[in-house]
Amino acid sequence: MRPLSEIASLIRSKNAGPFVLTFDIMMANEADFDRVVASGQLTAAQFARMYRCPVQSVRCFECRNALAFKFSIPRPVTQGDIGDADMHGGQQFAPLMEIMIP
Amino acid sequence: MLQQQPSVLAKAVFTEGVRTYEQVDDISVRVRGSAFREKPFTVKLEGAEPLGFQSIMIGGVRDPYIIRQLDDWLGKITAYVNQSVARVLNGEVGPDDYKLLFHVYGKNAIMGDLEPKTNPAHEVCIVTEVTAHTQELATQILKLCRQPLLHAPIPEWKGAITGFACLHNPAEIERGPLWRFNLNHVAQPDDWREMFRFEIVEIGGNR
Repeated sequence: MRPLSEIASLIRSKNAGPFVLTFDIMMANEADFDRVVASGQLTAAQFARMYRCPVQSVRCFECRNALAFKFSIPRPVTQGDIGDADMHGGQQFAPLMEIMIP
Repeated sequence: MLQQQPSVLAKAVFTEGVRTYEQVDDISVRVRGSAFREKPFTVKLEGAEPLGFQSIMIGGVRDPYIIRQLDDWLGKITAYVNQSVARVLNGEVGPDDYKLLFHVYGKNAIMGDLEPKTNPAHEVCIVTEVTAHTQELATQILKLCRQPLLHAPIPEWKGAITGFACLHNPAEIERGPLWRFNLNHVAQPDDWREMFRFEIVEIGGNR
């Protein structure tokens, strides 16, 4: 078992417009990509649990041609609204780093 | 008080089709197989609305006794401030007329309720933020937060304490107006002209 942070070449989050938060998880090679796919850890259900949103609101993509996973969720707080403390959404990914991959 | 403005014009997009990506050198990628497909004309609408004015105060706590009961401590301060607002502003300002928030860096400021870690750092930064209908009111309410933050008691210490380190003096910073995105739609007009105001100016003319 290794944390996702040690396998992925890049884990990041970002606004996708003011109402959507999106996450990219990128691998350096196909072996790592396959390993993460096989783990079954990067799923809509996992995101729904970690980011406390309905599983139907999670959009997820496995992009083999880019060796990448992409997830989008409704922004917990609209960008710039009272209570939003991450205007660019760039620091919302950190908990993903600790997902354990067999 | 909605401000909106058509911002993006699109008539067609390059998309779909069979594409291949080929690394040409370290910094170049060749993409093949893109197709140009005509799509209905659309206009993207984006809008924002004003929410009021904000004033903030930056400071921090180093006392481990306070840090270990931070939520409780801030809850008591919030209750005290709400009472002060009702008393000092003579009932003219109701609970819905302002919003008081504490952003606690070192604990969960960045992820809020989504933060999975539960152990705060040995010192935390607290940004106190008040939003109200006017800048003056936001600052006035923020000023009512300073004394309770500085001196709210905790059971571990017997006697008056100063439990909050202000970064600045005066402590209050006026941030000006606050805006929130509230519109993000794609309109599909029958005719693109109906989405825009036109003013036709003739230049020159007959001589």
